[in-house]
Amino acid sequence: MEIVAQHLHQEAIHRTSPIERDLFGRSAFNRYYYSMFIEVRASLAMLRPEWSRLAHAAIPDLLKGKVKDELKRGRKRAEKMGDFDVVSLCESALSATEALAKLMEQGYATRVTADYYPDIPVDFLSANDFQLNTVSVKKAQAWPHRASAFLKTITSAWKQLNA
Amino acid sequence: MLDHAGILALLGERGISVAGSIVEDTGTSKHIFIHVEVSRDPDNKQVPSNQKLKDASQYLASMGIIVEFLLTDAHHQDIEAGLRATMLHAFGNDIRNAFMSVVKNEAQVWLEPKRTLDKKMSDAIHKKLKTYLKEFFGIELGSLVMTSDANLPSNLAVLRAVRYLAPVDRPCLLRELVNRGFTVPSMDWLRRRLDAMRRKDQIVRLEGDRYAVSLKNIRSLGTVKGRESPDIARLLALAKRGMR
Repeated sequence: MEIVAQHLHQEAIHRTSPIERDLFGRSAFNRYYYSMFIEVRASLAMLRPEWSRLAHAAIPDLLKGKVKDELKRGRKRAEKMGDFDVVSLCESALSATEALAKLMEQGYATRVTADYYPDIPVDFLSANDFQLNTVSVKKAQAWPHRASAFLKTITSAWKQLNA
Repeated sequence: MLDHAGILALLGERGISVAGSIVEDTGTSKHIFIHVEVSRDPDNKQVPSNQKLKDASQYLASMGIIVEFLLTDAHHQDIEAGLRATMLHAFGNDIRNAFMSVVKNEAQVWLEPKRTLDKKMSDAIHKKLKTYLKEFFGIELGSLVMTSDANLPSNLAVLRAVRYLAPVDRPCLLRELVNRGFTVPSMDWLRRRLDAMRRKDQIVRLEGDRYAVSLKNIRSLGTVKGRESPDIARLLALAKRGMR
């Protein structure tokens, strides 16, 4: 999915027609979001199989609710056991959960803008850079990698607590 | 109900300036997404504050409007871009990428290493990060996470496996940990880990070089009710062994 996003991103930069630049540009945002969404959903499904079919808007709430609660319970358990490596891992995972929830919210809002708000144009800032509703494409390009770093931290703590 | 212009006016009255256009969720949640660009006051506090945003959000919720504020902190984005450039410049052979989030003037940093880093390298990275954040921006390094695929079982994970199989010998425990998706470097690594845990009274060694969780730690490990109860899992494991 990410290579599709990168292709659309490059097309948006290289096209000369303003309409085509806008269409490719908003599609790039959409695909960068989906690239992140698919990875997040797959990782959540590995934590709990029942989380494999979550709707887009449900993911930030799940992260801020059930995932954080479980990590907090685990941290408490690790504290009781005196396993401070796991306590520290849980703390990092809690920060990652918060950051990932925010990232998903921003990505989702941008994807909604890209798909359903053609009246909000893609704004070309320079020859190689554009943004949609204040979100830069460079930021969107980093979404999948950023999400992946957060997910690694979360799954690593989760595994120590639940495997 | 307020329209978008009304929401903008209300937020403006509260000193919250909106960036970009208001967007409504097309899915089931019916949330309204609002981009807010935050800045810093002379004391390095966020403007508008999280409390101000929370109050506005609650006020709008009382009118039946659920908003999600999406904050853009250009200052933090610049710091992160600088941090990434600094780390890749200094440790380009060891670090692939770097991310940062800031909560209450403490930075959480995630680094993606290209390989397993030794202590000397980790310390050098830590020192560089601390200097960059503190000297240039007055931000403390809250935590540094090296995202890696290293997957050694923690003491807690080993204890859970011992509880499940007790009394258990080392080869059987090693197999169980591997089945649970952990990497166990060697039998010797496991023996040392178990010895250290035994010295801390976390486990006891029984006849025949087999291990069980100490009474104190069985209590600390706790339990849960329902399908995922470790007691039920253990009972099933015992039954399975008895049936062999």
